[in-house]
Amino acid sequence: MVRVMGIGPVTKTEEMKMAFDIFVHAHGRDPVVASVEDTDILADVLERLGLGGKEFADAPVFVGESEDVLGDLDADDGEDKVEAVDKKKSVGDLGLGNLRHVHVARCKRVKIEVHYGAKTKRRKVAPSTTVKTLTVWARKAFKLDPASAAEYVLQITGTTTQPRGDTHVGELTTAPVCAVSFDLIKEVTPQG
Amino acid sequence: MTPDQKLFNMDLEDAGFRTGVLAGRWGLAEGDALPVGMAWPRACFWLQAAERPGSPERYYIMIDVSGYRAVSPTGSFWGPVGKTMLPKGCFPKGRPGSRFAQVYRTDWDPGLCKAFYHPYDRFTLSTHGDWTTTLPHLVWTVRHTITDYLDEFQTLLMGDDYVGQ
Repeated sequence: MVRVMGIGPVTKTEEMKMAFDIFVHAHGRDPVVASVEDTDILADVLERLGLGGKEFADAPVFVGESEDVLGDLDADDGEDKVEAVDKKKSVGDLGLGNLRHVHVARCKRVKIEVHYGAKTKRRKVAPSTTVKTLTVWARKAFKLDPASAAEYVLQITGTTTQPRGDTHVGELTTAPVCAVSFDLIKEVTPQG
Repeated sequence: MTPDQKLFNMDLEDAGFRTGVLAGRWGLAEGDALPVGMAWPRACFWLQAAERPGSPERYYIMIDVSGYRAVSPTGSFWGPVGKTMLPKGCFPKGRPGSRFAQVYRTDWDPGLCKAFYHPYDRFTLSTHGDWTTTLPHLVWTVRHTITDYLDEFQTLLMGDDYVGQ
């Protein structure tokens, strides 16, 4: 996009820098919003957010929110194909104007187990996979009756915690565990 | 500005709320949907709904958020044209017997057209003291934010149990 500078005869043009927001996720902290421009280097953005020190030097970084799992419903013990990106690239080159989400991970993959009754489904997913996506996958993988599937939610095994749908699964675990176990349960309907 | 209002405004800037706005799931209601003179502690939002024939793309809610986050919001659907609480007949309808139909029920006094039938609603919880023990995971805490509230009620509107207006 080009902005014309000055009034009257056009004397100068320059590339307009359009700032936009991205959402940065990491384990152990709430997601944060960062205002960026296409030309910003992702590593510099992460540095500004305190996610660029030695501690994070080898941390795999994912962009977008992976939905690989939805394309592979029937595979047992399947694994996502999405790869970490090179954080030395610019925000524009990484497509963050559309993808918007960045996940600074501790795990390249998160081992997911979902229990439903006596059955269990397993999958290794990118840490940028949302709980909402996993819920859709689990409902389909267990072939729930579509008439009642909407009432089933993921609850962390052994707890009453039902992470919000926009939570990245990588926010729920860290190395060396890199695993989350869920129960697929029917959400309680308020009565009384 | 009171502390609860400051905290509420801060939470409207957090990543969770803004992710929902960007995704088109919810947002603050535009000015022409609001009643004249509306002020804190009232807040009005729109929630995206799944496409259903003859039904709106969005429902509006008007909630009272006084005491935020120490206590939960309370409120119900709002009519942006008439600028009154949405009449019973215009509530979104759910599959009979579903959780959706129960949360958005229209046969419950004293909360009808005033409060959602859910533990997140301050008024409803006050009339169902047992929910704090029977539904502990659905009870509002100081760690909950407006995003949790919007997520809960908007998710219902996107589900297969929503049949239309």
